Parts: sequence; C-alpha cells; structure tokens
Amino acid sequence: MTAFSERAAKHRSLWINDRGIVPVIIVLFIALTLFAPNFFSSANFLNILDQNAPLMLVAMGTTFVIIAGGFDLSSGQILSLCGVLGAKFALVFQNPFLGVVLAILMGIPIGMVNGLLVGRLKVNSFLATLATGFVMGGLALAVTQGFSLDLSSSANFGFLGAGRVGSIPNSVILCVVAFLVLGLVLSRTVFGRHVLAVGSNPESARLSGVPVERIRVVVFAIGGLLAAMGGLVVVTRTGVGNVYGSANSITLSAIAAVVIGGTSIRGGRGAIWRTVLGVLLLALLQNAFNLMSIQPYWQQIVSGLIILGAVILNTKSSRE
Amino acid sequence: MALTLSQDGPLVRLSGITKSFGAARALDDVSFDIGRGRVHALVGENGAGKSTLGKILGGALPPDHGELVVGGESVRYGRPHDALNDGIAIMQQEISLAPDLTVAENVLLGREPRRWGIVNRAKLLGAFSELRDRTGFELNGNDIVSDLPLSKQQQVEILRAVARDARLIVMDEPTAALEASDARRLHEVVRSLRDSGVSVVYVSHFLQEVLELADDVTIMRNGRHVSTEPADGLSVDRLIFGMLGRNLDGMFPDIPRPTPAQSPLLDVKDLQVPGSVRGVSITLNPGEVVGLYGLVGSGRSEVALSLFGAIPGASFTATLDGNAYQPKSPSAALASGVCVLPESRKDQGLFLGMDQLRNTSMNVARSFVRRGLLSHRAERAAVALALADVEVDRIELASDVANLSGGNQQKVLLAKCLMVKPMVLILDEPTRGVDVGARRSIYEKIGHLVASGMGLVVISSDIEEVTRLSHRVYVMHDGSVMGEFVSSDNHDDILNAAFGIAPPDKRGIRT
Repeated sequence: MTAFSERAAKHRSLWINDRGIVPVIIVLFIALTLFAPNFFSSANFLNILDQNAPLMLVAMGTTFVIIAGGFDLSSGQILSLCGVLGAKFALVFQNPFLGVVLAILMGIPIGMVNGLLVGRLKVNSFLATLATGFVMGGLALAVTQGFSLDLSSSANFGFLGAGRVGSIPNSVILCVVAFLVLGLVLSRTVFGRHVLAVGSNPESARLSGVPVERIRVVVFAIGGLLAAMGGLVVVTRTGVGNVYGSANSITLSAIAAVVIGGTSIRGGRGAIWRTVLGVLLLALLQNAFNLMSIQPYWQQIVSGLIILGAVILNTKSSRE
Repeated sequence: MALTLSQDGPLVRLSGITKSFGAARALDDVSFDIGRGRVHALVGENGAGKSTLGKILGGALPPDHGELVVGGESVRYGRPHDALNDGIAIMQQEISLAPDLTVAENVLLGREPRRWGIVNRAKLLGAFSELRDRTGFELNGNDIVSDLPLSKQQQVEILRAVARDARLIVMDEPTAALEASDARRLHEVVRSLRDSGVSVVYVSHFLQEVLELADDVTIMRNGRHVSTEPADGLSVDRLIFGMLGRNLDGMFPDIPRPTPAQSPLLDVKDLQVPGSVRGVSITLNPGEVVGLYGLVGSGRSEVALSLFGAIPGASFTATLDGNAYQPKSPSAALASGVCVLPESRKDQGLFLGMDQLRNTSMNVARSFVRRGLLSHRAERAAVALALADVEVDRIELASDVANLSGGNQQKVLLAKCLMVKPMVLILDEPTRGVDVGARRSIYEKIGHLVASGMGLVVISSDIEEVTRLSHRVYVMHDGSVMGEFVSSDNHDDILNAAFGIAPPDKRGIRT
C-alpha cells in the first residue's frame, strides 16, 4: 500500500467510527420499513417527530451544555416550570400567545441561574443543576398549587403543540428551525467555536482569549431556552397546565440521546445533528415496539443496551 | 547489531522486535542487548519508537513479531504484571501513584504485611524504612503522596519498583518535568540503583544528560535500531548524527543582534503577584530576545501570565510601544499584540481532541467571520500558511492534534501565537519534550522573528537554551529578579543567581 492510500484507509475507518450512529439509523429504518406494519407513511413519520418534539428540544439545548463540559440535570424541571408558567401567564394576561412567548423567554433567565452558579461561582454543574432542579420542581408546584390550569377552552393556546401548517405540526417546524439555527451557531460562529474550546480545555481556552465564564453562562441559558420551548409544546398540546410528571426522565433521556449521537460526554466534541439522530434512534425504537405490539419492557431493555453501547464507544473514542 | 555487554550474558535480549499501530510501523526489526547492572540510554527523535520499546519491555504492549529474552528465557508478556513478576518495572512519563495514600502504602501497595486482611502498620513502616535505607532516598513513609513535589513522587515510584525486586527499571523521560537540581538527584539515584545491580533503561531527550549518566546508548531512528555502543566513545554530535541521519550544524542558530532602539518595546515596572512575584521590572527592546531564567516556582511563569492579563491579582505599570499597557484579560493582551506560548503544552495550550485547524486559529477565529459566520475557506487558507511557516511536518487540518508528536504540537502552538501577529511574544519553555529536529527549527524561527523586529521573552530551565538564544538574561529567584546578565556571562554566576546567591560583579541589580 502506498503512503497515500494508507492514509486514506485510516481516514475512512475514522469516518465510520466517528459517525457510527448513521448506519445504525439507516439499518433500523430499513428493517422497520420491511417488517413493521404501517411504519412507512408520512403520517407515521410526522407523528414520531411530533411526539418527540419536547425531547428533541431539550436534547438540543443540553447538547450545548455537554459540549461546553457541563451537565444540566434541571432541564426537565425547567420544561415543567416554564410549561405551567405559560399556562399561568396566559390566564393572568388573558392572552394565550403572550403567555406562551413570555414563558419561553423565561427559560433564558432560569437557565442563566444555572450558568452563573457554574460559570461564576464554579459550582460543579452536576450538583448545581441537581439542586436548582429541586427548586424549580417546587416552584412549578407553587405556580399550579397542585391544580390543573385549564386552557383547553382557549382556541389560541394550542397553536404551538396542536397547530399545523398544512399537514406539518408546528412543533416539528419549531424543531427544524431550532436545529438549523443551533447547528449553525455551533459549527459556524465564533461563539460555537468557543463552546467547543471551553469543553475541550478551559485553561487553554482562557489563555486563548476565550471568555470562559460568559460562555458557560450562555450555554446554560440556551439549555434553559430550549427546555422552555419543550415545556410549552407539552402544555399547549393538551391545553392544560400541569406539573410535568416525567421531568427527570426527560432530562436523562436527553442526555442519553446526546451521548448516543456521539457527542463526547466529557465535552469538547460534538454536534447538533448528532443529537437529532440520537433522539431519532430512541424515537424509532419506541415507534417500532408500538407498531409491532411488543411488550413495553423490551423497549426499556433495548434502549438501555443501546445507551450502554453508545457510552462504551464514547469512552473508547475519547481515550484514543 | 547485538553486542554482548556483560560476561554473564545480557539481562534482556531483544531480537527482531516489530510493532505496528494500524498502518504505522512503530518498531521495525529492533535487536539489541541490555546488560546487567548497566544504565542503558535510549535516544531518538519523537516517533523513533523509544516509548513503544519501553512499553514492550515493561509488558504494557505485546510485540507483533520478534522475541524478548529475559535472563536467558524467552518471554511473552500480556500485561505489566507479568513483566513485574520477572523483575521488570516501568516508570511512565506520567506518575501512576495513588495520590491519597501515604508514601509507604504506595511503595508496598499490594504487598502490605497483613494478618486476617488487616494491614499491620508498624510492619509496613518497618519494611518501608528498610527499603528506603537501601536506596538512600529522603522520604517520609507517612507523607501523603499528593503533597509531595514531582521529584519525590518519582522516588516513590522507583522505590515501589525496588520493593518488587526489580532487576530492570524502564524510565521514560524521567527528568522532563524536573528542575535541574532534582534531575541531578535523580541521576544519583539511578547510579546507586546501578551499583546495587539493577539495570536501568533510560529514555531521554537530554543528550548531555544521557552521556553523563549512561553506560550504553542505543540510538533509534524511525522505528529502527541504529546502534548500541558504550557511552564513553560518544559525543552529543555523534548522537544527533545517529538520531537524524545527518548533521545539525550546532543546535543554535545565530540570533541577529537588535539594532539600538530609542525606546523599549515593552517596559514593565514593579510587577507584583501576591504570593509569588515581588516587584519585578524588565525591559524588552524591538528585535531583542530576553531570557527569563529561574527554578520552577521562582515566579517566571507568573511574570509571563501577568503580562498576558491571565492572573487576576497581578499589578504592574507598563508601556507597550510607547502606550500604557494594562491588560485586564488574555483577550485584551492579544488585542494589544502580546502573546504567550504557555509552559504546559497539554494543560494550557492545546485542545486535545480538536483538529489542527481549530487549535491554530483559536486566538483569531473572529477575524474569519464573513457576514456573521465563520468562513471555513478563509480560515483553512490562513491556518495552512501559518502551519507551513513554522514547518509542521504533517499538516492535516482536519486531524486531531493529539496525533502529532510533541515537537509538532509545539509548532502548532507557535503558529497559533504567530497568527496574532504579536509585537511581543513570550515563550515559556518552548522546547520542553521536543525532539532535536523540531527544537532546531523552533530556534531558527526565533531568529527570523527577532530579525523582523518582534520582541521575544524566552523562559526556560535549560541554561544553555536561555543563554544561547537571548541577548540579555534576567535571573529570577523567589519572586524577584536576582540579576541581569548578558549571554557571554559565566553560567555558574547565572546558576548561583537562580539559587539566590547574588552575582559577584556589580551588574546584578537587586530589586
């Protein structure tokens, strides 16, 4: 072998190693098309995306936090809190649209609290967000006082979670827009470059003129904003402002999706498209089990094994 | 070429050792002997295969082909534990002790005297003292390892090998991170190990050190064995010739003299860092290289980082090119034209896991923004030029910098600094852990930079490097400048100043 083709071979093998999620998705997709009844239809695809929109949004936000070297264990609670805030605002201001937008924007200052704890006060992000998650869970209960904030009679409240443009759910459009914007921010802006730098080596980043503290604050704000969007999708879909029952589970699913996509759990490496594929993999599995009427415990077992496989690959590649 | 170096047959015989990583052949048919009770140095450029060979000896890697014969028996090690059972211990570049345990616990880890599972502390300390006295190390068995300086931790590692009745200890770059005085102490330790019959395989970049310490020297080049000879007949020039396959006409190029300047480029007065630097004043003229020499902990790196705006509590008054200079952050310093190549490549400079492109352009990413987004085309073109300018051997913009040798990594960091087009460039240990070829090319680059009128500060523990590159040298001790020297001054005076002994002549200024 000549030196050139050796190098090409090396690159090819790395390309595959680096994008292992892509063939897995393709194989799963083909298998489902062949074996799962009613899988291959646009209605089913849109349904999958719509169902998973909240997870997709939370996971995309949490990707920034993880790439910058942190963790956000409060993302599900932000989702829950902002969801009920949206319903509350809509009731208080008697304006559903204003309530939704305001509650989404509330994700920014809430996320910044995490960011300031981690960036300025140098609290370990795992513990800081564990603690703020409890606080937010409590605040969400305080907002509802344990009751449902019923807006199902309000026609406009459902525009985000239940509305459609043609046949495409608004929640899916929101995900696509978020994907395009966040993907561009991460890969094509100086800020995105700095996020990677802070996650890779904060001290090198500091000595390269990167404003490390500010970057940390902003990534948590992005995480908060996206979690809030997820929360509003959830609440406006049903039209009822309830404390979100599986807040902690969506947090962990989001982190799992990020890792399954191949973003490094130790920061410094990753991409938004990876997270999208990670969420899709979990979503396709869930869909497959539903369509084929397989017992739900199998879904949990298989999802767990897939996460485990991804983590092993992740560990291996970050050691190399 | 296999030489019999000992009458009783060699301790270790390597024959035809070959090892590949993917398509890259790290070792190619390497054969030589290691004698009993000898210090056997292994030299070669980065990538020559020294560390791989050390790992194969220590059982951390199995060879693909070839035979390893230890004490006359052919062996095959699957893991370091197997090699240890044969009395071969390896001391890695990174210390691998349990940081929270005591010295004695580390030394006797896994062989604690115990009864019913309970460690007998008195016996443990007794066994430790016996070992310590045998080697003459100054260690306290009750100290916690993480409290000890690096040089002491190395002694703990060595003692741990001795505790396992090691007959051969492989030391990979043991002095790379040590001060000169600690390195000298380590040399004594190595000699006393040899005198007690232990063989030491000593991997090092410091050729002078190798010649002083080793009995035999094996030279490696590109994974191949070049020669194994007694150190007596060798010189630094011969070693360099063997390592490179060609001559280096001396390590140090001529650094052009600065043209006399009306005013200094950088004039720093009364630099203070609470707890580490006390009132340092230095000047730097355009086209001048100023050396900053001192022991680790003398405050030299703190001076560099303060001037870079990277130490929050630092204070000083300074002018840069005639204007007041008071950087609040590294980004402010970069914007003013001051750049630092930091001391620790891996901890403070590189982004391991990120590609050459993003590592090199990190300081200046902002300048590639076109219509709000980074222009990858403009960035690639500029980075490729910058990397070619510092002569990086394998320019592959998309490949991880972790795949580069130490020398090339350092060149990437130099290119990163030069992309800023600084007026003042501060190089903190620019050639630590860097192979001979890359070192020479970095020195030449320094020559070109001063010729263009840039001012450079070179910080180094290598007195030869500081004096040969610099026009003037400030020597620091305990946070103060002990004296200012010119490169022709006596090295002993410079060393004395670094240890806090004022120079005999009046040139030395106490601050």
